[in-house]
Amino acid sequence: MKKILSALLMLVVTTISLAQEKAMTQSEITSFKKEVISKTKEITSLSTDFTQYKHMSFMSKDIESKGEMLLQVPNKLLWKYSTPFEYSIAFKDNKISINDQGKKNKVDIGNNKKFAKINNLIVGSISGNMFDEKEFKISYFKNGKRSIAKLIPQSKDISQYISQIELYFDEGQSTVSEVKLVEPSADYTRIVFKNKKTNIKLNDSSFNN
Amino acid sequence: MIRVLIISIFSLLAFSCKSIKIDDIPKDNYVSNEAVVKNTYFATIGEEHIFRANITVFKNELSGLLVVKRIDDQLHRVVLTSDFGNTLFDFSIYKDKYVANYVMSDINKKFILNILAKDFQLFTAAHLPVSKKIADGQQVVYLGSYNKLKTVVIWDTPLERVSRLIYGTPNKAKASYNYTKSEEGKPILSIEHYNFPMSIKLTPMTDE
Repeated sequence: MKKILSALLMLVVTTISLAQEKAMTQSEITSFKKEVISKTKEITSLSTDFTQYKHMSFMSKDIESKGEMLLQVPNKLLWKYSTPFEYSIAFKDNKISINDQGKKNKVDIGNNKKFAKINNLIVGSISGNMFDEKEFKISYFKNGKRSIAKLIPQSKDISQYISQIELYFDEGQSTVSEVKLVEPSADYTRIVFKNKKTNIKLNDSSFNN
Repeated sequence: MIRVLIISIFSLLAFSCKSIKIDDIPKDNYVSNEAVVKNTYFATIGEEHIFRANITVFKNELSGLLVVKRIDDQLHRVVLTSDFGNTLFDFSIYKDKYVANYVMSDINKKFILNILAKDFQLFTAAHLPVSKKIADGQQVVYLGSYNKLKTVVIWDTPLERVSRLIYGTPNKAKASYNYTKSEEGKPILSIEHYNFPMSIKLTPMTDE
């Protein structure tokens, strides 16, 4: 009896989750990718606020931090946390600079391929152009008006840290509204973007850290 | 960055036999006193502690979040994440063993894990068996051992809590775990190693 009940329950759960998240058809995938790629090409800069939620299965609630992010295509990026503490990290001219509550640190990443990959990953995640079929096994879903791309990293460089990346696109937007980075342990970090502005003028000095 | 850290940590081996004499605690005239001192900081089951962590290893710095939670009588969960949220290590800490649930590959070396696990076994210990004591001004200093490691437990009498735990003896101290210091009016916990240059500074993000 218990087995039947749990099988039924599983069926209901699966049905509900299927109802919420539906795989895209091939033609939906083609048009979705086409739209994102063409719109992403038009983006030269971006600024946004973000809230980061770190989820750990054994904790009663997620750890929340907030800040703003600036991006200048192709290779300038600033993450600036303002709460619960001030901390910022900038990627610029092959250098990473860190400002930890006024304490500064610089790391030259030079031609380090791993860092280049991580940089591309971050820039790609935010701008939405992540459709590298060699690097990721990608599947596409729709949930109401949201489009979702789920990427499974193929190279060990990334898969040892992140087992899946989920990108959420709100209707009519080619940049992501939410990123979920799932770790091998199934704990994850969710970053939700708000107040996005694209193609605004950013000074080079905005990325000084 | 990680590579530099690893090289630094490897060179720890050369230092690892060193220890120091602690100046500000008595060296002799202890009297026998079999007891168990309670360290309440991480003793409450279910209580979640979140710290901003600044780790220094041979002048290299790393920052992130450290989470400590006592799950049950036997177990503390200790997790360090980077500021971006990705997990650097995730330990289940028991009194006499540890389980590494996840460790970022760059630091997944047995001796690094052993150092970190030993630190967190002592740092989170709730019951500290002692065998000798001496009163010293506003503190009581106990000598004992935890999990076969020699310890010095310093009890702050006015605060009525453990202010410091030392791994080693007053004459040969290897590391110090501090619970009651403050910096610029903010409480700070810390782990300092005397036998190699590694320290962990923890600023509570939850109300402690």
